[in-house]
Amino acid sequence: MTVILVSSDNQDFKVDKEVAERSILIKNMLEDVGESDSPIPLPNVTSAVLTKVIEYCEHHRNDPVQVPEETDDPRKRSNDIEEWDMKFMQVDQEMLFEIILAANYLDIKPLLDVGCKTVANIIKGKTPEEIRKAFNIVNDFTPEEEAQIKKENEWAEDR
Amino acid sequence: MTTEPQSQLRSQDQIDKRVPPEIWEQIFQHLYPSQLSRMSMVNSNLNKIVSSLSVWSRMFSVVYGPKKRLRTLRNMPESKSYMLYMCASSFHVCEGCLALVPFVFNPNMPANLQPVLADLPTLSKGEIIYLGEEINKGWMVWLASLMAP
Repeated sequence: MTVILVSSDNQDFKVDKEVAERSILIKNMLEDVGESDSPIPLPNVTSAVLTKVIEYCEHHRNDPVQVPEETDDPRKRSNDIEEWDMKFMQVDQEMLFEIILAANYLDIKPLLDVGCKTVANIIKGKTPEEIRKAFNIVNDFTPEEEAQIKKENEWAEDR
Repeated sequence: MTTEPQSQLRSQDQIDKRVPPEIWEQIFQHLYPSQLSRMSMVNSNLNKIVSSLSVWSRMFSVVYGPKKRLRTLRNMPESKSYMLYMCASSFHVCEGCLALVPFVFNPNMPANLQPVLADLPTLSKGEIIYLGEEINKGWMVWLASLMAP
């Protein structure tokens, strides 16, 4: 069985139900509607992003459902990305964040997870100035605020 | 009616605003405290997000045990007190395993930049031990200039 997904720029994507249901949002919508072949509009996802998301879901169509691991450590690893996923995430930064936002909206947890890990890996080892450059963020602190924040974070400089 | 696609509207904002705080929080779960600290120095929005992370108080529990609480700073979100305390005690705590470690001087650092330990005052009330009683920024561990260059 196939379903039709419609991107924000009105392109139709015909995908297997099994693939579409990697998205919990779509899965729940299909369950609510029951047997129906009416297209599903996704007004928050452009066709470029939806193409990537479907590529991911196709590749992972047979993955078992992820069970969140219970650990004491409040932090999580980011060096355990599968090779295929790592290559899949080699896109420009605009697309990387669009994929993350789409995965969040469509409720595809493993994709959101891999996107967050990828961004974390970009941040790792960078100074505040390097992070600003990498993500095109403007420093909006006043000189007083910046002095205060520097003082609070002085400890981290040599670690 | 014609409307601009939402993503085009959003793209006028900086990335730190386009990505909602709950997603930043997920990204930050993969970072060590020192990297989070550097992240908090990027701009005011990210500073707010980093200092309101619940992970600071959870790290505190892992390091000091579930029976310890922190007397929080006035005029500040609770999470920021935990953040500052974790920063202050960073020379006692291994970032990799979140265990307390003996304080060591780093021989690779110049003598005038060696860290100086400040007292971390404690107070017990029944079962619970409060760390950082009468907190002020005085308990920060500074990289002190001990000797004039």
